[in-house]
Amino acid sequence: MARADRTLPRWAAWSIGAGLVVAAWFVALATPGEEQIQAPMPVPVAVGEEGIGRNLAATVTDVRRTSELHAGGWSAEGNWLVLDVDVAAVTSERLVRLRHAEIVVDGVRYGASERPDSLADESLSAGIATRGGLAFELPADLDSGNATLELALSSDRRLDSMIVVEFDLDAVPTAPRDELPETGWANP
Amino acid sequence: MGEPVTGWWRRNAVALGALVVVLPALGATVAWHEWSEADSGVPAAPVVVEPGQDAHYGKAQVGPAVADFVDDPLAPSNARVLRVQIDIDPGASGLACAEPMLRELEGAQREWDPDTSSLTTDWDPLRPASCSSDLTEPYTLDVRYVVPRDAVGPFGVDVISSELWPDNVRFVVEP
Repeated sequence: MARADRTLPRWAAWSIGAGLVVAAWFVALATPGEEQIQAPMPVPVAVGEEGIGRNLAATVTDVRRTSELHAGGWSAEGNWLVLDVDVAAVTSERLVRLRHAEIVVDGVRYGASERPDSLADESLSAGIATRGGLAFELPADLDSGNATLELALSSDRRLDSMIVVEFDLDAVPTAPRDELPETGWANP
Repeated sequence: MGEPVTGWWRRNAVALGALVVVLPALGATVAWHEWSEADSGVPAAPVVVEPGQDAHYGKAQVGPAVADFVDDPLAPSNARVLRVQIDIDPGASGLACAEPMLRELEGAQREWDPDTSSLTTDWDPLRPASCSSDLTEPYTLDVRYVVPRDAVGPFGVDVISSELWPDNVRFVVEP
């Protein structure tokens, strides 16, 4: 009789079992997926602020738009977004280049143009900033919306820092003609 | 209360004993599996050569290494140029090595590649920046690095030959 008193009632066993299943469901729900686990680590900064990640430090010093972009002897007409950027490696310059430079507007990604010589894919020095420009050729009718610049060392952005700079395209000043700055040391 | 609990432990003694063995074994197996490949591709611990000393590297005699900061009008104003010179006696069979990397041995432990494009280097075939297996007479490696002004040393200069991998030599220099 005393032994029977200590036996768990059947309803309690079922309740505990159901409770464990619900708890497991919550654990599964709270566990991040592969995309979240491997997501880049954003370093959000404003225009003019320095963002420092694992091995990438960058400052966007100016943002402007133009319909005629010049870079040395090269020029092209279009809807150009131009950014002046100081960028450096932080700890190591081994195989380090600015391989990811994209603007995201309304969920659409635009890569930095490879047509003019720019900071895109430029090798970086550890602790010594390089100054230059990035040019983005946008669709002709794209002149408003929230834009996000992403800068990272690898085109595969996963599991590394990514400098993120948000700005409003409407607020970017426009000039009829502009020059992409030459790439060189920030402090010559 | 005490008697049934004791009975439960007794009834499950074999399973509990197995748990005590299996759980540590599982942990050890997973740890060994993960760590066994953790250092693949990493060079062996370098042979550290202190300032003023030299070392055998394969059949070659390397060192001593000296470093000093030099002026270069093309260097940025917030940086200095560190010039590292390493004596190499390659021996009859020659020694091939890549351009050595410079690393900070203290503080942030930053790493720099040799600068081959932005500085005014006078190229001298007997003072190359990397070792060539064609050279069998003694010569001096002459490598320049652009480093920020707050990088003061001591530095390590890593000489690595793919033929002698994973052996490598690290010269400690203090400009």
